[in-house]
Amino acid sequence: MKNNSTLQLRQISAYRIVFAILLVEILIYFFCDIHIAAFVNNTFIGFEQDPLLWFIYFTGLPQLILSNSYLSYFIDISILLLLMGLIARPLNSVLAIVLFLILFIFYAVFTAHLGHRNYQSGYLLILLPLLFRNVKSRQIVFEFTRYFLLFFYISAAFFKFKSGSFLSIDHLSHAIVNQFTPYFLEQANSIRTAFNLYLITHHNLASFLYITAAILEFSAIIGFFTKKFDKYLAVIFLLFHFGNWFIMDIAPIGQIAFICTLFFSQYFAWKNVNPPS
Amino acid sequence: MFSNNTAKDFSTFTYALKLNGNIVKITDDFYLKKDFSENSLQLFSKWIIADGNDLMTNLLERKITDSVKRSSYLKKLTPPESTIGTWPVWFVKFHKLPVVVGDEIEVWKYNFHLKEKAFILTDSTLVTEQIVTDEK
Repeated sequence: MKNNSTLQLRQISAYRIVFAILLVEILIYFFCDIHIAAFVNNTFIGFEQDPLLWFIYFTGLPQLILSNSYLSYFIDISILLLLMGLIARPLNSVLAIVLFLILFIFYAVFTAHLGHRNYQSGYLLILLPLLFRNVKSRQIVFEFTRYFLLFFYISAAFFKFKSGSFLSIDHLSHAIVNQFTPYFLEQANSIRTAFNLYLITHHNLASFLYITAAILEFSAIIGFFTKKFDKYLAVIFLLFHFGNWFIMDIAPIGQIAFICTLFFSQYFAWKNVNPPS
Repeated sequence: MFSNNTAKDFSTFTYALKLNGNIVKITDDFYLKKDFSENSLQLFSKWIIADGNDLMTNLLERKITDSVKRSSYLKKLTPPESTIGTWPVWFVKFHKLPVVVGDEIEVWKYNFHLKEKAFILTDSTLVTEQIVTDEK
């Protein structure tokens, strides 16, 4: 067994890498004008059946933040500063708690204005273990987030099997019809739109890709029995998502850092590691 | 993802916002902005078509009998009526386009059908239109 200080140093390095990836992801959000200050004066909101988001808006906190552009910019800048702080001091619970709360408000505001819940919520889940100072609690919560990540992909594969879409040769061809419609309207033709059209009209290849995607998702089941292959699972999930981005125009930004925790899962075992004094 | 059954034809639709007759392009933007623009424009259009009703409006009107409570919930969980006029202006500004009093903004729904390996525009419907009276 590795000694405590070596393991803790490796944890700190691993978290630094993961938080640096997260910072890049958040910067991409911001450069795409997806940040809290961008939603000031946007009064259109829409909710799905998600009582948690209803509750947050019922408190009036998002509306209060959005009513003041200075406060909105302050929140946006705080996200970046807190993330930089966590890169410097990765195991600091106070920084993690404050960042988690602010990112949760960001998630609520973004989701309410988008009108549907995105799957890219890894930027919140990644912080969950660090909300606790107690070593055992951190260990348990890290295990929980790891199993949740695995379950997320297994459930996606499960629904493909359960719905029978797995057996339908033209299922993906029909599903991707909607994905590139704005590109066709704006005549923004590219290799991607050409490939999209090709898949719509070539059911066998589309079906092969659909089955491959389901198998890649289902491979997460391995993680329920051993952690030995976590690195390979991370590569598989990233391949799946970047393939999905090209074929379906669904990008994993906001989820990448969370997936990357699998590269370092052996360092995130909190056994025998004391929190920093 | 994409396990649900879909319509078994190759027809599709999308929404677009026009400023003074020109479509505000969303596909030039990087994924997150393009995706946000596409989804929120679709949701806004559906909200207009449904006369300002959405899932929350229907849910609250069915479940909350106390009119004072219902009104308070609706205020916090649904868009105000003024959104019809303000949101399209916000959308134009979100795309860094100048908008001034007197500009014309329209939202259209475009229907497409796959024909001979290409999507052909079959028809379009005007969802809403307005002349800008307030730039904010």
